[in-house]
Amino acid sequence: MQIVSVENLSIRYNSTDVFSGVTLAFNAGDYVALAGPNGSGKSTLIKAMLGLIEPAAGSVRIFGASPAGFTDWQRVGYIPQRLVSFSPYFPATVKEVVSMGLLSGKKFPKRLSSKDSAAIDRALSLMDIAALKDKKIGELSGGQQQRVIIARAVINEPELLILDEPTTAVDPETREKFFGVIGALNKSNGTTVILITHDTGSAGKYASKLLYFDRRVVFFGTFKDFCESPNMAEYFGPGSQHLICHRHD
Amino acid sequence: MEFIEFLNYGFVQRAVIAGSFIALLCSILGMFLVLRRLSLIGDGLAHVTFGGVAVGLLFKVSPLYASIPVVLLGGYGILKLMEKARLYGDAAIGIVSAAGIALGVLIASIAGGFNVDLFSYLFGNILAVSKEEVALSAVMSLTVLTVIGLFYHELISVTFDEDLARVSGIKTKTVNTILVMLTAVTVVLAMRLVGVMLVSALLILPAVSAFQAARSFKGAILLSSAFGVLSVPAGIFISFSWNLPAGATIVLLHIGIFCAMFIFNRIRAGG
Repeated sequence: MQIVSVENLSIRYNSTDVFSGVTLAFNAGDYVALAGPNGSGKSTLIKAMLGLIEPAAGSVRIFGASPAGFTDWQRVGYIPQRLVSFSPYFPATVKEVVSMGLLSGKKFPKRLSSKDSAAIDRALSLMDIAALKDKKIGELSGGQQQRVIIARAVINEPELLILDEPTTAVDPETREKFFGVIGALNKSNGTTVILITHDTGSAGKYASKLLYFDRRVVFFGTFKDFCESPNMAEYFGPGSQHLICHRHD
Repeated sequence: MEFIEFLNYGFVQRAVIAGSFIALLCSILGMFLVLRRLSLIGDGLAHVTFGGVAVGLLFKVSPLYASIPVVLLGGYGILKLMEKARLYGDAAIGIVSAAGIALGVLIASIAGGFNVDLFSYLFGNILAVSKEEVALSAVMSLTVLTVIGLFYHELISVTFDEDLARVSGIKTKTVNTILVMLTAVTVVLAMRLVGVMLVSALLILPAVSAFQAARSFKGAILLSSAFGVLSVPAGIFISFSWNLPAGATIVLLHIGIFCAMFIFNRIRAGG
C-alpha cells in the first residue's frame, strides 16, 4: 500500500526550479534513507510531501489524500532539520512540549485529558527523558532538546515518520538509542520511515531502501540493488559506491 | 491618601476595572507575540489606531468604535504582507505602522487639527474612562479571553514551531489571523489606558518579566497576568497620589518589575 506518493512534482522558489517532474512512492513498512548532496532538494521534497511547501506543478498524496485535505495527522510524525529555534526563555516544560504531539488527534476545542498522561510518560521513557519532564526546554542541551522533539514525534506511534537529519546534534549514545527506537517502530508496528541523512556510510545499517536524490531521483531501491548496480558504479565511481555499501551488512 | 479611600472615587473604580481587564488581555497576548518575535506589532497597530482615532474625530464618531475596523484592517494588512509579499514581520509592521500614522496626520491636517482630543489618545487618559467604555472593555476582554481559551493549545503549538504545528494538523494561518486580530482589538482598548505611544509596553513588559522567573507555560501566563493586572491599581494609585500621568506611571512600574525579575533571575542562576 502506498503511504506517500508524488507525481510529476515541481517545486519553484523565486521562479527558479528546485526540482521538477519528480515521481515516486513510498510503501507501508518502507524504511528509506534519503541521501544526496547539500542543496539537492531533499528537505524541500519532504516538506512538499507534508504540505509545508506548495508545489508549482504536480501532486502529492499522503494516505491517499492531498496534504491540504488530509486530517489524520496523528498518523504522521515529523522531526525538522534544524533544532527548533525557540528562545532560551521559551517557558514550556519538556512535558508541555511532548504533549503538543497529541494535539493532532484532538477535535476542537483541543484539550488534554488525564488519559494523555500515560502516553506522555511512555514517550518520555522511550527517549530516556522522564527525569527531565518538569525542566524548561530552553535549559536543556542540544542533544536533550532533540530527544524531546523525537518523543513529541513518536508519541502517537505514527504510521509514517519523516525525519530530516534527526541526529545531527546528538551524542553517539543518543544516536544509537534513537535508531533503536525507530528500527523497533518500523519492525514491530510497520511504521514507514523516511530518513534524510548525510551518513550514507551507515544508513544501510538501519534502512532497507536508499533514495539518492539530486534535484531528481538518481536511485530508488534496496541497498542490495544499489550496490550491484553498474549504473550507480558509473554515477558515483566504484570507490564511492563501495563506501555506501560496505558497512550496511 | 489611603488606598481604600482612593478606591471610593467612581472614576478611579472605572479606571481600575477597565484597566485591569485590558492589562490582563495584554499580558496574555503579549506572551505569544514576544515568543514569536512579533513584539512590535502592538506598536505598529497602535500607530494605525492613531489613524482610526483621526477618522473617528473627523466624522464625529466615537474614536474607539472608529478605530476597531481600521486596526483590524491594519492587522489583516500585516498578515497579507508577510504571507503574499513574503516580507519579514518587522518590515510588514513598519509599512502598516507608517501608513497608519501618515493617515492620522493627513486627516488631522485636513480637519485643521483636533488639539486636545487627539493628544489624549496619544498619551492615554485612563482616569477619564466612561461607564460605556468600562462595559465595552469588559465585554471585549471576556470575548478575547474566551477565544484565547478555545485556541490555547493551538496558540502555544504555533508559537513553539509553525512547521511542527502544521504537521500536527493545526491550521496555522487561521491561528495567526486570530492572534493578530485579537491583538488589534486589544490595542484599541489599551489606547485609552496608556495611549498610542505606550501600548506596546503593556504587551511586551509583563511577558518578558514573567519569562525571567516562570518554570512552565502555564506558570508564565499566571505570572504575566499578575504583573499586568496588579500594575494597574498600583500605577493609578501612585499617579493619583503624586499627580503623575497614569499611563506613563503604569509603564514605568512595569519596567521596575522587569528589572527586579531580571535581577532575581540572575541571582537564582548564580546560586
